[in-house]
Parts: sequence; structure tokens; C-alpha cells
Amino acid sequence: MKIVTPCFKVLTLLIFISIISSCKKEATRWNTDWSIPFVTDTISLFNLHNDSTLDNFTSSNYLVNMERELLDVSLKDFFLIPDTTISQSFSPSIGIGSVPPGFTFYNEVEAHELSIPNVQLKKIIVSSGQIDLKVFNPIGTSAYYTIQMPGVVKNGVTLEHTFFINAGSSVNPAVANEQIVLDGFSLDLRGEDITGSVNISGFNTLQTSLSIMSDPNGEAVPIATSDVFEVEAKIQNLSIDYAQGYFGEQIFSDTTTFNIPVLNQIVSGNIDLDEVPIDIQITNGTKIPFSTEITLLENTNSFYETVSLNSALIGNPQLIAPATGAWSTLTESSHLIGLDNSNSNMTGYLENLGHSHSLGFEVKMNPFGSATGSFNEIFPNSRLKIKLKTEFPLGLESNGLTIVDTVSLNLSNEIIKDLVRVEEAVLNITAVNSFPISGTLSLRFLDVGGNVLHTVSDIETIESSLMGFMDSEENLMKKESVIEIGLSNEVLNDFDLIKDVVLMAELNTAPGVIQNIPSNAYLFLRSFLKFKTLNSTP
Amino acid sequence: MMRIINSILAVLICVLAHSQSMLPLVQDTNINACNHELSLSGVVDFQSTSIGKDITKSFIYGGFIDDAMKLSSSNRHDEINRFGIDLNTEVVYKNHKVNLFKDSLKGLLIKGGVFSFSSLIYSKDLFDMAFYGNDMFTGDTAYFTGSQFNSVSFQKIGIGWLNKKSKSSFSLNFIGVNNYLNGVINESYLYNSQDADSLEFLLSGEGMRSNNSSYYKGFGLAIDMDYRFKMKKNEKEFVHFQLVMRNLGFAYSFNTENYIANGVATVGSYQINDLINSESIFSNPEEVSEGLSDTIITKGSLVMLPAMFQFTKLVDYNSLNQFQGFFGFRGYLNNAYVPMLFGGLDFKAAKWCRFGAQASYGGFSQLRWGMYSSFNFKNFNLGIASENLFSKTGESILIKLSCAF
Repeated sequence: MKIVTPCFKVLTLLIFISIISSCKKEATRWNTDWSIPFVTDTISLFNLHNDSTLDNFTSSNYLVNMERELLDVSLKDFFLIPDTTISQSFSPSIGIGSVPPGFTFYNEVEAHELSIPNVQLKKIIVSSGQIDLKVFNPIGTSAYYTIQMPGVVKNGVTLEHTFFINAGSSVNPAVANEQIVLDGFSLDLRGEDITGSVNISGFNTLQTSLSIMSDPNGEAVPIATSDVFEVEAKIQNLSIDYAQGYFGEQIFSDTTTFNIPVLNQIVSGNIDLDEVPIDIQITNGTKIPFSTEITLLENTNSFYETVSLNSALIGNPQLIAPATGAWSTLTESSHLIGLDNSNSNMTGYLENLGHSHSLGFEVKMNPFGSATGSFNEIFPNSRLKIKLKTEFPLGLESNGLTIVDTVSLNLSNEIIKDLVRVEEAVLNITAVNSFPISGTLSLRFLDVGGNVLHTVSDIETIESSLMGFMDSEENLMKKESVIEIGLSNEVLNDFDLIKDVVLMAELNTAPGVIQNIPSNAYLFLRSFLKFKTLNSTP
Repeated sequence: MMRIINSILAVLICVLAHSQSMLPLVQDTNINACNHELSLSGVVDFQSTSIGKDITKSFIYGGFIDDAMKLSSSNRHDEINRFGIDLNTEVVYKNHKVNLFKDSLKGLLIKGGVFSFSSLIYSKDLFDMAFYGNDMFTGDTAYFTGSQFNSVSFQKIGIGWLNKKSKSSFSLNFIGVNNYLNGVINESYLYNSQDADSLEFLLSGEGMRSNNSSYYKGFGLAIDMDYRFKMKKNEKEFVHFQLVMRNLGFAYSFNTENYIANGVATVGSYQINDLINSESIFSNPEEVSEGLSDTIITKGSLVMLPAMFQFTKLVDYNSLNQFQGFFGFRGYLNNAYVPMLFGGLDFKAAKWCRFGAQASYGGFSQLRWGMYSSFNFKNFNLGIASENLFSKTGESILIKLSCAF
């Protein structure tokens, strides 16, 4: 065996150099540029204020034509006749040794009072309802029971119902159940006076009479004084189409709250508005006099500042006349409470930019008591409505009005790991603005404790449409703005600490001018994120 | 003995550090005088049709890949491109003293080696996407369809016999697979909208990789064959030829993760209300990958080894001619490797020193120029070669060290 020593030494030197150079290997690195979609959307007034009806046809500028129903009640809401059970029983004053088949032995009218507190009903027409009858037969032969309700009429025929019941006994009377449907029946609730005539001044009275005929095909049986012939009638689920009488001094009151969410995100600035009138319209489809009072109209803004609308019309009852006519000729009465700058602090009220609005009202029936002669009438189509209405050109002057929204960043560990390898990140926004309002964005990055870690405020402005050109196809002034929001390395390196991003938009219009908002105006936003990443392999 | 072992280890370390191996070009009869012959060879050869060697070297040695490097490589790309790396080192021991099968011409052959072979067929868009990102594809679609990748690393140890006279040999090798990765993209694209407000990624493809914590992920068998023959050129001279088959066989990988992806993932823009009303954004990126409907199955797989085939007209060391030509072709069982033709001229500068130059076309790249040097001492032979000296898209170093004792 022979090894050439000089060569071995050279080889050893080569090996040493190789190992040293191998140990010096560094990571392989290169940059890549990525773009991913972020936000693309169109902001229109419909998106922001979905409770409004915007008129975009009448003129080239938006008109606010808002109508909101605050109250709409019908006959069913006025009255709820409680379920009522009336009972009629009869025991013979003397015993009869043998009653032959087919013998009628009882017939008497009884009056029953319906329990309707503070209401004096004289006549009603039932749209739906029923009477559940339960009758007891104590004698030893079957019988026919006939129940009649005087004053309860349909198509000119008084309600009468006959039904068969089996033989029973005093100890165990036979029981039969029947149901009478009252749909469409007219009920005269005045009752009878002592002469048997209609009691003109009567009310809430229901009459029944009961006659019993032993079965003509049955046997002769005795009747004792201890035998009790009994009928139970449960009137239930009554719904009324028409009512006449005196309906008392019922009061409807409520405080309605409605919100405009976007206004809750305003943190600074203010707006100036032209005059904005608000009408409160009350329509009365009942033949009942009412009084209506607006008790409260106030709003609260995002700074918890509350402004009330002050007016002589608020807090003072307004009389609402009854409707006229009847049935198909019924004509509702209408009353308008108009609020504007001439009789209220309306502009100041609106410029408070309240996001939460409260309106309180009270409606009182028969404000003068029973002086109407107990002749309130409600028809099937009678409704009492209260509406809030306003109509004005949509325009404003915005002075640094700043809207804020906070978005949580719930980034996965993988995304954070990727982001910290990002060397540059730019949010590229292209905006096409047809509002005569400019907007300036700024961003704040917060940690888990809400502390501001970084602020990005040096951002170009989304210009007002007035800086742009006229698009004849859309009949709108438009201005396209391209802005880039660069995120520094400091921001990117802290992405694992960032929990929330506060987006702030400051809105401005030309000073001293109320800018009308063009019909169909929109703000189109398209944005994407561009990253430059440093990729590396070990 | 320890010095020999140290020498072997040192050479192996050197070989592994630079990953080297050897192109067999010669019909070497000089070292036949001794009974034992030990040769070490190493190859590091990376080639590409398009990727610059500056980029590849950055991956091997580290460093920053700058825009100029990326641009020059990107400009070289066609629609379909190839890239491959062949790293191997092999130790061969030949015993001419023993007579196997009672045949005086059959000697003993023992060999061992480490091989790593990786290949890639890919689209230009895939290169640009990887090195530039998707920003350059805004308003465009990047297509990755047809891309394939394959990588296998294995070790072998074999035993066989050799013909002491002709130098032909045959060995049966036991294979231990260290790593296996394979994949094909049947259809894939990334659409980037003009306004950068949506991305759509389609991926239909499959892949597999060995997934086992053990050092050997699978085992197999392969044969090596080196068949040499000569043809008479004239009264005194012969022309020597060599037909080589190396690593022809299969291995079985025990736990292979098989991935099947067939779906579309779309990334769209948020809307204003998403920001105003949502509690968070960017919270569920997994939804995107779920759109690709990945399926993962773990099972055993049969792995075909990247066998090499080569036919060569050899250089005869015993020839009296100062110049000799050589030529041949080489192929691998691999989709990305185009059969390579090569030819060159050998110059005998001295009895102990030879130089050569060659040209080749094919493989993972196109035209390449190479040179080699061979130094012969009494019991020692050192060959250093490169098949790729001037190309901008690859590099090749081959070293072979033989000693006889």
C-alpha cells in the first residue's frame, strides 16, 4: 500500500478551504411584490340612511322626502271585549206529576251585562266570534232546548238555536255542548225596558231566552222543584267590525326612538343646514273626537349632547275632529302640526347631528268626556294615524365633520409571520367622488389596551366632486383621486401588537356655502394592498 | 490504515461540501497493475434552460438575489423551461486479485454512494410569480399548467463483479431512500383582475412526498452495469466503447403523503359594511385554501429511481495518438431531462497529464462547453472536469480520485 504524501497534504488544504467556505453560507434572500384586494364598494345615501326616502327624480339635487308612521291603530286596537260567560237556570216552582211528550214548559227572557269597563256599547257588528253553549237536562226524558238571543240579528233574523239533549236525572243531569258562530251578527246591546220595548239609554246588555220541550216521542215523566234546567253560554273571541256607543276617555301614548347609526361615529366638526321643516300629521278615521299632544322631540349626538325641539306646539294638546260620513262615505279628518324655524329651533335641533331621536306623543279619546251624546262610532275601515313627514332639499355645509370607525384586526399567526417579513406595505386607494364633499383619511393603530401605537395621518385628500369634471352620461360632477397610504417598517414590525385600527374620515365642503347633494351621488372606492416581501430560505 | 481512512473521509467531506462527482471518459488500464483499486468520484451539476447560475448559486451558497439577476433570468425564459440538479458521490473498490466464480477474469466490486437528483419543468409565469410576486400580473393571468417537480435523495451500497480485462462490471445495489418529493400541476392559474379587486387561483394537480421521521424513508434495489467493448480501428488500434446503466431500479417508500388539489380559491374585496359591522377582518385565511379542496392520503408508494444511461466512445490511455476524440450520449429516467449528446477532443500533454475539451447539447439545458484535466501518477490518478464552463445557466464540477495498491 502506498499513499503519496504531498498530494494528501494538498488535498487536506482543499478540504479545509471547502469546509470553511461551507460554514459561511448565508440565507438566500429576494424581494417579491404582491397585491391583494382590500375594499371595493360604492357609498351612496341609500347605504348610509336607509330610513329615508330620497327623491332623486324631481330635481338634479336630492330631496329628502321622509315619511314615518308613528301610530296606526284600528277598531281592534280600541276595544278588546273580554270573553264573557253568562248562565241561565230554571227550576219549576211546583212539581208536575207527569209531563207528557212534546210539552213546552219554560220560556223566559233574561238580560246579561257584558263587562267592558268605562265603555258603553250600544251596538256592535261582529266580524268573528262564537258562543260555546253547555246545557244540562235533569229529567228522565230527552228534550229539545231552544235558545234565543233577542237583539242579536243577522239578515233580519234573530239568533235562535235548538238542539237535542238526552234524558238525565236530578242527580246526574245529561249534558250537551253546542257552538253558535256569531260572524256577521249585529248585537243590539241596549236591552229592554220594563215595557218590553228597546231601552234607549241601555248599553252593554245581552238578552237570552230559553224554552224546553220534552221529546215528543219520549215518555211522560215527572218534574220536581229540585230539578234545575241550566244553560251556560261562553261568548269568546269576539272581534268587532262596527261599534257604536261611548268609548270612554282612552289614552294612547308612546315615545318612539329611531337611530341614524352613522351619526354616532362623528367625533368632531359640525354641519350647517338650510331650513328643514317637519310636519306631524294626524288623521282620524273614527267618529270620535281626539286630542293629540306632542310631548317630546329630542335627539342625542355622539358626544351625549341632547337637544330638544322647543316650540309652542310641543306640549300643547291639539284637537282632532271626528271623521264624517258613514261606511262607504266615511271621510277621515286630518290635522297637521308644522314645525320649522318660524315656530321652533328646528335647524339647531338637526345640526346637533343626533344619532338617537325620541318622539313622544299622547292621544286622548273623547277629551270632553261623554258630552258627545254617547254616539262614538267606529267602522271597519276606521284608523287613527300619526305620521312624521318632512321634505327638503338635501344640502349641508360640513366643517371638519369627522367620522370614526374602529376595526379589530384578528390576524392569524401565519399572517403576522408573513407581515413581519414585509418590507413595505402600501394601501392604494382609487376614489371616484361625486359628492361636493372632500374627505381626508387618517389611521390609528391601537394595542390591546387601546393605546395608540402608531398614527398615519399624512394622507392625501379624496377631493370634492367640484374639483372634477361633468360626466354628461351620469349628469354628475366627478373627481377621481388616487391616494397611497404607506405603512412604515415601524408599523409593520408591530403588527403582532396591533389589535384595532381606527379609521377616521374628515369631511369638508367649501366654507360658507350650503352644498346641495346631487341626485344619485356616490363615492366609489377601490383599494388594494401592495406588499414588498423579503423572502428567505435557510 | 488510519491514514487511508482519514483520506477517504477527507475526500468525502470535500465532495459533500461542494457536492462533486465524475464523468467517466477514459479507458484506464494503467492502474491495473495492482490488486486493489479504490476510486472516489463526486459530481455537482446544476443546469437550466433559463435560470441563471447566479440565482442557483445564491440558493447553494446563500446571498441576495437582486433585480438584475432576476431580470436576466426572466428574459431567458420560454413558455416551458427546465432545471435540474445532480449531486452525487460514489466510492468504488475493485479487487483484481480474487477470482469470483472461479473465473480468473472476474474480480470483486464493492461500491457505495450518496445521490441527490432534482428536476423541474415549469412555466415562465411560475418563475416570475416566485421571484417577482403577483403584482406584475395585475390585469393578467399567470399560468402554471404543466409544471412538474421531482426530487429524490438516496444512498446505496452494492456488490458485484468486474471483468479484469475489459473493465466491464455489474453490481446489485441496496437502496436507502432519504427523501422523495414529486408533483405535477395538471392545470393551474392565478387571475389578477385589472383593478386588483379580485384574485382567482385554480389548482388541479397532485403531489407526493415521503413523510417519515426515520432517516431512511424507504428501501429498494437497483443495478449498475458498465459494459465496455472495443472495435478494431486498424491493425494496431482499437476503439473502446462504454455502455453505462446506473441506479436502474425501484424503491418502496413506506409513508408517502399524497396530495390531490382540485378547486378554485377566490379572494375578493371587502365592502364598507364588512369593515363597519364586522368585529374583525383577515381572521380566517384558511377559507381560501379550503377552496382548493385538498385531499391528503398517506400510503406506501413505489419510487422509480432516476437511472442514468450513457453510451460513450472512450479515450484510450494507451493510445500513442496525442489527440483522441470522444463522443456519446446520456439520458436519465426523468421527464425534465432531454437526452444529451456530447463530444470532445482529448489531448495527451505528457505521459502523466491529459487535457480535454468537450461540447454537449441537451440535458436540463442546451449547449454547454466543458474541459477536463487528468493527472496520472504511479499509483494515483486525479481527474478534474467541468461539463459547463461558460454557460450562464449552470455549473458543473466533476472530480475523480483513484488509487491503486
